[in-house]
Amino acid sequence: MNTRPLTPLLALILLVALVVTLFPIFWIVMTALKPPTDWNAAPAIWIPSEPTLINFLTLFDPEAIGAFGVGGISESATAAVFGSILTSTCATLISVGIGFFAAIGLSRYTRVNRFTPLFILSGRMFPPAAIAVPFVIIFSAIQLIDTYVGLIAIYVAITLPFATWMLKSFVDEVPREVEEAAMIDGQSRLMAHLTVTAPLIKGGLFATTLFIFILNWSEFLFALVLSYSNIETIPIRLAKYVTATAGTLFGVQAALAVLAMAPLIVAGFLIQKHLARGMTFGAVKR
Amino acid sequence: MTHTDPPKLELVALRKEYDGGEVVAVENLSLSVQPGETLAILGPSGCGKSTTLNMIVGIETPTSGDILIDGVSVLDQPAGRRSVGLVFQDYAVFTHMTVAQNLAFGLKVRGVAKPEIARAVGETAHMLGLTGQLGLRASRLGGSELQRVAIGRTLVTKPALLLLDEPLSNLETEMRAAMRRELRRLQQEIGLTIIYVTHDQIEALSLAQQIAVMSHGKLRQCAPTDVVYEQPAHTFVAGFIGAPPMNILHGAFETRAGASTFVAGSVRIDAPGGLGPGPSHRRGLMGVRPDAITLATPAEGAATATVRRIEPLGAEAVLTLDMNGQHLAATAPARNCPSEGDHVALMFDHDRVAFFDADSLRNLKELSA
Repeated sequence: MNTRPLTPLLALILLVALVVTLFPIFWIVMTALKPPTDWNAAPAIWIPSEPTLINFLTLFDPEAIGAFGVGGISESATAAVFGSILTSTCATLISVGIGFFAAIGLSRYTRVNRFTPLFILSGRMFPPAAIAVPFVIIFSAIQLIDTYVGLIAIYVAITLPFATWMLKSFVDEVPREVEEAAMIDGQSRLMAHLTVTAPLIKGGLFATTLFIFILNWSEFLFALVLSYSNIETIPIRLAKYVTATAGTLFGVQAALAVLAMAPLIVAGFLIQKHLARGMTFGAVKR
Repeated sequence: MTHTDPPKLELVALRKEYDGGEVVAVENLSLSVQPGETLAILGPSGCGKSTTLNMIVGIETPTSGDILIDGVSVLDQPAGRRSVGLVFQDYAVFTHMTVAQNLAFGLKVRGVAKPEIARAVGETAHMLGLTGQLGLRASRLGGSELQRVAIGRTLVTKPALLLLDEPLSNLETEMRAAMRRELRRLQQEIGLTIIYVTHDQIEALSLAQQIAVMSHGKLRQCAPTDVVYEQPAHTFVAGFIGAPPMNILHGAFETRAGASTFVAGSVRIDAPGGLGPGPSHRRGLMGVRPDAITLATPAEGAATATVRRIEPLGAEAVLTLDMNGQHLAATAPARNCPSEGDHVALMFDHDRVAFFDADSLRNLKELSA
């Protein structure tokens, strides 16, 4: 990669971009470390004088915050963390798995109908709120409401178009001959896709998986309307820390947000090499 | 897996349509390749060469027609069961694997034992000069190395029938000559039946016993190399093979007392008998190779032409001649060559001319046969 010296103007733009991106993260991390007295102090306290882990403790031990004379929540966040990991992981794997084969179908057999890719995306062309209520009614009728299976099903449905489209652009870059060469060597079409196509778009699979996981991990609307008491996810839990009954538990809320963000940031760093290639949409070396 | 005897291949009225018949890639293609023979398929891009190979190897299904290997139809066998290997033009090397893994791939899929795979991979790598690169990822290789990996990956599985789709097009001249020698050695030692698609005539003429020329999905001629060169079945073949291509003169056949003469301006050449019954005067075409024309000093009654342009090509020069408005190419020794503007007499080697029908553009020999 060739680099050129940063011009002052570019440096300034970059700085603004970094501040805009990183400031909210900075603020959340700081808030998560503040004792209740500092949460909404005026003037604002930027860096806590006495950093504490009490907010994190409170997430899993609701009584802990009592020492500061604050109360209002009784439930641990464990269920929400479990729920988020379960739904996001399952929905992402299913979505990327189906999306991979859908992408191969679209990329290799487009003669079926040239509008098919568009049809697949059309499911995402109206606001999710417009289908949220109908889904509540439908899911009630088929008894999928307030179940992980139901939530996973709807997450797969709403992320599959993205997974398919993203992966299609990667599969398009893989020369057909490479798969045919594997078939001439005696592999079935399916095996050729698994042993040749999939590893060749590894970067794309990583990028798509992370992207879809983020969508699922941060989804709020459907989780809210499709859950009552049996299931919970982190976004739902986050909202419960600032309510009429709970009060304004900013620090606890920030602590959970930090926990929710951490795995994604770590994952991003780990697969950064693949992301850089994957996000350029089709950087498979021919 | 290994065949002791190379197989015979027959294509019977092969046809391939795309888009529900809107595009016909291959039309009524029939030819046969004898055991151990090398057939070169020549033709411009888009003439159906690659489609034909893809059908033989089994990655495309013919719309109609049949493919027989040793007399048995292989249409119901999937690719990989036909003992047919195909080397793709654009390598189709697995870039996510090492060179060794690439070479081992076909054997692994076929369930060959590990020591046997290692031995075969080592042997093939040695033959193709890839021993030093075995541990490298294929994505780090250059064009010539990639092409050798592609060839090696196919050869390692010892196919009985080897299909090569412009396999040397991306190699440097020196490597290309070496690979050509290597292929010729394989031909002789292993006795493979080979079909070789190329647009490089030198390659076709030097490797193949038979040449098939295709255009627009149709087979124009399939014959031994010297026949294709000297007696092209169609003016398309005449113009496609040879550099510069065969000269085509427009003229007419005059028949008197059973003997035919081709007349074009001051050119009069006896046409062999058997041109078939026809009017005593009919339009026709004569083909003559540039190297079948000898230049001489103008003399009474001889066909003459003016030298318009001279292209020296080392030992020889290619001359563009103007004969009453018809342009001809001829070759002459570079050291003893006329100058531009000179008038020269043309002498045609009568044994090396071909005659074509003016309407169908087909060789009259073939038509009367």
